[in-house]
Amino acid sequence: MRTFEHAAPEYSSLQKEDFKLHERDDAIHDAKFETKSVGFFKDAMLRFGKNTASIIAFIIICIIAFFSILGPMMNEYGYNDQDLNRANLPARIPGCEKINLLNGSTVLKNRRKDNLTDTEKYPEGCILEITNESVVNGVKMCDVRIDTYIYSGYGDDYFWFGTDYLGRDLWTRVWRGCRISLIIAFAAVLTNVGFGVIYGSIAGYYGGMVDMVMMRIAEIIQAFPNIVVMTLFIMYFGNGLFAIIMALVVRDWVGTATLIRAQFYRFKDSEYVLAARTLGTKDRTLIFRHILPNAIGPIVTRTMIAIPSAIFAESFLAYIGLGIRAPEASLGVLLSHAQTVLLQYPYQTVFPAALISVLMISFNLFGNGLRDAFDPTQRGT
Amino acid sequence: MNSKRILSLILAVVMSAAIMAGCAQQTVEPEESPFAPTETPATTTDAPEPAPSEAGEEVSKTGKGTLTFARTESIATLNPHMYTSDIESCCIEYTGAALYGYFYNEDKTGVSLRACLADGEPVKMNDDGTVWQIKVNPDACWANGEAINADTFMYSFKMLLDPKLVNGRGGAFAEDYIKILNAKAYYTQTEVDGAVPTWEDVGIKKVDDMTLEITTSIAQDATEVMSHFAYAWTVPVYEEMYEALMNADRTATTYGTEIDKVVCSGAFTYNAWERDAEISFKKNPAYINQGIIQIENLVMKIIPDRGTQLQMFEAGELDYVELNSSQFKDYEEDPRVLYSPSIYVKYMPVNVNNPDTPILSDVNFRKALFLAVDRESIAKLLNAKPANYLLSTRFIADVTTGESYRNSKQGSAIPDDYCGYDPEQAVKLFEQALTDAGQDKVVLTLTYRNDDADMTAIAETLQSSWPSIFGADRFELILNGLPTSQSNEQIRAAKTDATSFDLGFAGWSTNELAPWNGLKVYGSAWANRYDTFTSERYDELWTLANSSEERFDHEKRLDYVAEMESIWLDNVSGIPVIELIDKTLKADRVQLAADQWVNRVGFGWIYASVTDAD
Repeated sequence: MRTFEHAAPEYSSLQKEDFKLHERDDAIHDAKFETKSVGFFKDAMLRFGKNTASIIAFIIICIIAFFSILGPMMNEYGYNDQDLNRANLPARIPGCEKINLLNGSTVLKNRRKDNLTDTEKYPEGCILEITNESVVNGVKMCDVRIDTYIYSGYGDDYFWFGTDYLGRDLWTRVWRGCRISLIIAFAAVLTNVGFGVIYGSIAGYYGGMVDMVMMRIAEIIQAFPNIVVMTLFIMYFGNGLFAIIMALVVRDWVGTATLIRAQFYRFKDSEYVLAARTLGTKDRTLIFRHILPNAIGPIVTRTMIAIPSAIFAESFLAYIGLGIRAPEASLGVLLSHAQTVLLQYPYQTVFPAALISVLMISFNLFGNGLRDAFDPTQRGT
Repeated sequence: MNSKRILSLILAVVMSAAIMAGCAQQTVEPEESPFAPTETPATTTDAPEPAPSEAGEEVSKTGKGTLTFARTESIATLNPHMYTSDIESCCIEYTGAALYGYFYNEDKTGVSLRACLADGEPVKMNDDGTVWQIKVNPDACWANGEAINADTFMYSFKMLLDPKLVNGRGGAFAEDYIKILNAKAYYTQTEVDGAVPTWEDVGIKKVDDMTLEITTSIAQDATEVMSHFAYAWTVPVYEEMYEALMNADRTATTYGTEIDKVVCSGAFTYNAWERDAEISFKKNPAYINQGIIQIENLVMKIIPDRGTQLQMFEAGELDYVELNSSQFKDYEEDPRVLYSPSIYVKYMPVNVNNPDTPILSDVNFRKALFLAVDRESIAKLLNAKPANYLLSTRFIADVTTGESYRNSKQGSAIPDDYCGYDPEQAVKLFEQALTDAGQDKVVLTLTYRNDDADMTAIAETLQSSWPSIFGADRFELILNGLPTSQSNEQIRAAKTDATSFDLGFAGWSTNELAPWNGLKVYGSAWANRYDTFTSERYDELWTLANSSEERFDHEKRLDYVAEMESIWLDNVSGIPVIELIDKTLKADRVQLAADQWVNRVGFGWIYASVTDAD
């Protein structure tokens, strides 16, 4: 590094004329940025846009939401149109004749081989393949792959996801069930966030005794085991849509309230809040207009992450027999029944299970993307 | 690979091994106890000689082979005085012998009620038929070799009726097939002729070391006495242990809460019990009929999930498994499937007293619901049998011939046109009922067990079919699916809360050998009843069929049964839907003692032999 030395020979020879004032005629001031300023939310969205996994997850959620709304209208079957003669038909999709899971075929196990020629039992053209021939107690037995639609007398029909134990179209029921699950999840999460935000805001803003009492109440509520509370709640109020939503809210709002309270403690003593308060701004305005917006990022993130949890909780309730009231379906109700016939009719599990898995993963990836995007420590990176 | 990675790898392997080790099943052997059953000496003379097996070979005293099967329920107690569930009853019947029991008849085509720990049939001691003597078999003994005598039964029956213990089975012991003199009053501590009876007043006496005398309050016959003393709750308890396990104020005992807290007298002894997982039994060489038992070990696994049971059967881990309606699809042509009638008729009790839905008190409306059930379609869906009657085909009219009640003159009198399905007539009655009630629309709630796939299917079928018959704008059925315990509780709560349900689901496992007795569960006196409809005539008929002199006229008794069933059906106390058909898949290695299913003995699994067991 070069240092300036007064006694250095190359500087001692410099004359006054060798110096001139630079930009003396120009006004000196801060230049205006040529680019537009990037706000907090815009910065968050920019960062979210760079997260490919989250973007894909968001697109998948949109597609699922689209089918949840319009899927049940895509064929002529209602979600409760029963026909016991077409019960348990496997999935059959036009153009998928080569794919065993989707061509309407199924394997009938342990059939008497001598019965296969009986056209009353096995209509012409329904037997596709004979396998696993064996002799049991002196009787020739085999497994038979059949076209279940011809076998059941519905050769011209297509049920894209198959039918259930009462002959109801599973495509319609799966998408309608998905709609119900999403409604339950969104309603539960929004209610829980709404209540938690108000509760946490009041506790955090006022602090002191108010905060102490409110947070102790919240802690007592949170101390009850979630499953027990939800189960008792539904058993008491019944298994309607409203009761299930409220069962998911009854305890989960506490987390949101705690989060919001922390945000209020962080911002309520800031200079801009002090200034607003000095100017006579009312508490309500301070809470909801000046402080709460700082917590929007964590709220959005928490909401998105809570949705898959709510879907999962609803499925769990359906599994223990406290799901939505029949004949309405939800993903949990569909899975709850399907798992009892998993070995006999695996397609009844495959479609709702795949859908709930994709939905859960998508919401988790989407939520993670939002969390990273709203993380202030990553701003500008 | 650096040392950190190697260390991580080793840790991962160790942790995996630890998890695997934790997952391994451990059978907990019972702890030593002063009451642990001892091996009967090979030289004992108490046990009867081995009887020849079917193949003509001599049956080993210790048996051969292991029969493994599964049940879905858990076991809470092995105390014969307190058991409540079917699985507990099974365990007690495997390990305990009563004075009388149900066995195969000679050619194994039917059931025979005969002496077990008793020595011959009871002897009538007076012309009235109210005093009976029962001899105890001199060969009767406990699994530890000690003799069973009249004192054993005196103590057992005294404890069963003890008013301080208030054992759950005491009431039925006091009065069921027979009415033991003063037994109920002693058990409930109620006054008779101005005084509460003492044990000395109860009609159970010891005549000598090997003879009991039973005094009843009404005339009985020998079959009734034998049937009464064939119940599992009459299995004797071991006095020394029962006393030792009693609490200080003698209000409770822990007898039967562990396998080392019970002494066996039946075909098997307890071997090991891992709660909620497995209970195993070993052949009892001291059992009085040990010659008819060929297998050495019984292993009962507790596996709540039917799917898992079937997988275990396919893997050779179970010797037989019951199939539900969806599993049956894969085995409907399989020659290994055994069929047997179920005792249950699934029916829908109607709450006729619900003030919120007064239309249910109108018999025409109830008949409309009855006629609007398409039983044949539902039965086809569930591989069952349509039922427009109350007593299933498993009930028999005559224990000596094995004739099914449904095939008897009285039982077959119910018209079976369309299995009670007549939508046109249903609509007429429905309209008439609505007109009479001045209503435009009816909304009913059906409470059902949503953990039962069959019930769920029936409920959802009716929810769809009834509005289409009666008109969607005139009728709505709301489904209230609940887990089993809550569902049953809600229906039974109608006794105290008349609004607890509109329609429900029920089915009774009751006395299949005596339909006249089994019909008690629909009468107004039955404590756990699901029905709300009551009929004085029904109760009167039950008393006539079970207590009057006329009951000794068999045809008359069956007439009473038919009239009781008619009253129940005509008033639509409930809506019968289907009768189940039980399907059991049996492994080839198990050879049954008989080719067919028999009442009370079933397929006789404990009399089977297992050929290729380890």
